[in-house]
Amino acid sequence: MSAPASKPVRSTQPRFPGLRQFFREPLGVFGLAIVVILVLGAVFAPYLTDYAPNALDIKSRLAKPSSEHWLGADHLGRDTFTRVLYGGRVALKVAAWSISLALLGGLLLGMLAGYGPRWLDNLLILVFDAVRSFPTIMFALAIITLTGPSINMVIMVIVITSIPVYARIVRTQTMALRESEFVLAARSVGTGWFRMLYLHILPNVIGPLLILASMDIPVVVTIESGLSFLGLGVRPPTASWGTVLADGYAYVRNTPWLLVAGGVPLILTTLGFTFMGEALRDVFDPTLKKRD
Amino acid sequence: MTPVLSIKNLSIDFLTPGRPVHALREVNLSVPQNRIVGIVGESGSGKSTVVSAVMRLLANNAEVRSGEIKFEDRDILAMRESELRALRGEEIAMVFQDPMTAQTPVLSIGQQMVDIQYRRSLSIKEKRQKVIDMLTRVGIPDPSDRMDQYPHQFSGGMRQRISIAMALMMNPKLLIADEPTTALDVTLEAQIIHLFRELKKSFDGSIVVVSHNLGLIAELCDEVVVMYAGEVVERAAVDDIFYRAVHPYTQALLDCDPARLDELSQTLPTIPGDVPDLQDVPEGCIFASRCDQKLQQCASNRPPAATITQAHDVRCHLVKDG
Amino acid sequence: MADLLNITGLGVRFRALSSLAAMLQNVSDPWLDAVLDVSLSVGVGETVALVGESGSGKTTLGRSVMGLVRPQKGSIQFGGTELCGLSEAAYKPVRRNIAMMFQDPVASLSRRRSIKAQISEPFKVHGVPVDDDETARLMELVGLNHSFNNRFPHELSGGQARRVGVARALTLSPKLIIADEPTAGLDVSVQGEILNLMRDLQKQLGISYLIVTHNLPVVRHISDRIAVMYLGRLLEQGDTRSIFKSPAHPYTRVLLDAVPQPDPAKRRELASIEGEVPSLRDRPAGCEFHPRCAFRQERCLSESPESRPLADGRIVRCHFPLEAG
Repeated sequence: MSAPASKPVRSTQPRFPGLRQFFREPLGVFGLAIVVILVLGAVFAPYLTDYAPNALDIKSRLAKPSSEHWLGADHLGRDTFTRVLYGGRVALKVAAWSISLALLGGLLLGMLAGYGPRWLDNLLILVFDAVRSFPTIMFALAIITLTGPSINMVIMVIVITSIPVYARIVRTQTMALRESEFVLAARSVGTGWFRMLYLHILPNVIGPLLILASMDIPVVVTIESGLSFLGLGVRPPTASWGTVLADGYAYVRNTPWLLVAGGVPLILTTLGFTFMGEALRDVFDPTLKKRD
Repeated sequence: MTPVLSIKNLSIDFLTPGRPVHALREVNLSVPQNRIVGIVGESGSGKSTVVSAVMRLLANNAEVRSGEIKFEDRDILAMRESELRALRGEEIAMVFQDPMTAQTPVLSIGQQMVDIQYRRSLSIKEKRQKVIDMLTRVGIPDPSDRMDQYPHQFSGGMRQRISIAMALMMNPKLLIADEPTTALDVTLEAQIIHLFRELKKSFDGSIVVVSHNLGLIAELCDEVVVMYAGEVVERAAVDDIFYRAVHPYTQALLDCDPARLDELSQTLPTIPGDVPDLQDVPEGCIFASRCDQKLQQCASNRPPAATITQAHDVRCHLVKDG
Repeated sequence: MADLLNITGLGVRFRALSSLAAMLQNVSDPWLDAVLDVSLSVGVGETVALVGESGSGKTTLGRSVMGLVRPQKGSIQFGGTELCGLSEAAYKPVRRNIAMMFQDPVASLSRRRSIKAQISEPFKVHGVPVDDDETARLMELVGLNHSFNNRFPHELSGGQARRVGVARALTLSPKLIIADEPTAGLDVSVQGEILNLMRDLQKQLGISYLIVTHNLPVVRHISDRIAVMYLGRLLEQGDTRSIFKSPAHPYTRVLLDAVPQPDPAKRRELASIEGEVPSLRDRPAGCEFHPRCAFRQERCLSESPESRPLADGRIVRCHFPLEAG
């Protein structure tokens, strides 16, 4: 061939350019640090404390923070620090399950609506809008009042109400990609719909969606805590940030630290995941980045 | 007569996470009064960077290493933001490549063109009359009715005419047209070229046409600046460039244009090789690696800009100054 | 020359309004004709260029041969098989023999897949075992060395991405390649490389090309025949040389005259044509080109001309074709 073999345009590129850029965003690193601490605290809870989360100890009832009880003890003498650690397990478990199931459902239904036939799209959009028109909390209250409180029910409610949100985003992106030249090019060689969605569409929609999901984690954690606070989430005596708050609430005049112990993790979760998500978004979706 | 625009020794780097990209290196060019100057080059030649530098619209990571850009006798690079705002639109105006995105979609074109005149102390009625006159000049039919329509109600060709009308509204001394016909179909391109030529008869400013299209340059320009990989390799009057080009790159570029091949050919000419990496600018002549007439010194010594005739400069070892 | 591709009376329409909106707005015909009654053939080893301005329907015609757009009328015969009305499953084997190169070389590559994966994609889709030697041979054929295997589209220049597009089109050894604006976005010094490559491959492999483009100077050098489209209609088709020498349709002449000449001595004082291509929504009555035609007569305003052959074998759709010379 007459044409010479030309060189690649850029020969040296860092393997994970995004990662390096992420570590240059101070708030993002701060967020990541909080998230890591919360996750480690929840995972290694049994090793971080000598108490069991539900062990009663009437002697330490409403104890002040001390070297024995770092965050004091509640009205049944249970160690608050331990309950906060174990509460983190519930929060993160609910967040992990509900966000991953919602992502999975949202991706599947969104890609189907965006790439499938018109009638399917119309049908799915109708369902999404119907579900989205219930306020999450009202929907949760209604369902849980009927079925009785349980974590699984909380997860289910969150999944059902989040799927339409994710699916809508995926659908819009899929529709835009569907008209793009690389999808036409893939169609022109005879690529079937499954291969198309899996190989060509999915990798292009999943990034922004994951970032969005990481910013939704605090919302989910707050919903879980809120429902548990109202007695509609975890069953007592299971520890949750919501139940810690609820237990502390009754004694707020005498033992304000109980409320602080339940509230601070919630605030930290929100800050941590939001900062991390925003930094990730700036790195991976530069179009949304603020101009400096 | 002082030139409207003169760029001396301009070098610009773009800072990247790796090494800086030396996007422009010692660029010299001048735009005399009342002339049409074409800047021609392929992608990566730096022609758009020159335009951005003149408008002071460079990206944030750009760093001016040296040089000056003089508009008449004022230094653009030293201007404050308020002076720049007065300069842009008022004295230097621009026409962009894509007519479909060059206007605000939510205001009628008449409204937009009245707004451009905000520095003038005229009544609305007088301003509207000026808009109607301008639209008539660029060939918009029924301007007094159509000026109250929105951009989407005009076709692509009409919108490019409106862009030109907006640019000329304040009677600038310099009009920069950046690939003004690239997004247009060939019959519209011919119309816009014709429009520029008509406007030039009544417009007493200078025009800079930036394009990769040799046809557009030949049809429109008085003088041509040829750029390659961030350098000006040759500049001369349009006839000198098209009939007496000296720099091997200019010659090769002209040879590659299929519209200039009279004989039907089986194999189209090309310029073998790649544009050099501007993070690691080679010593010597920038075109040496692809040049078919290269001498021994070309790889090691950067040729100085030599003047052949009064208005014909070339940066090539094949030419001796004088 | 035996015809590889034979298009007759092809019509492609798009719905402009939903039936409800059409009823409410009292529009009797909510359809837009993107391609209207087009007949065209491509011989084995032949290069046919489809030229026209935006809105002429040339891209839609190319895509309908590829089966990306489904025509409502007419027939597309490819190697003796009728393609119109085939189901997606029945189309699949056809796609081994027809390949397409898309307009934007970078955007037509999947952003997150390596170059090697993209070139061997057609093998996987058609259940052919991936042959690494074959992929390497294709890369070499288009002038890309093996260091490109693991690169991603954003790391390529326009010319390199274009080469990947050519290699991918060649993967299954097609008989016909539809190239949509193969020179779009390329510098003049690079476009020759791609066109020469395509021509070399044609000589070696006997491929036919249907090239969709608006770049007339290039068409003159690379195509055997050209077909000129306007508002979905084919106005003139015939031998490239004779059309460039003496266009028979007034629109063809206008199109050729409009190309700016890279020669300051050939500056023209007048634009060759006024007005713009009308919208498909306001298709003019009679001959579609009459509002812009300098040679129009009474008859052109009301009566749509039929395509008819001229003495030299050209087919022209005009009541009053221009005399030669």
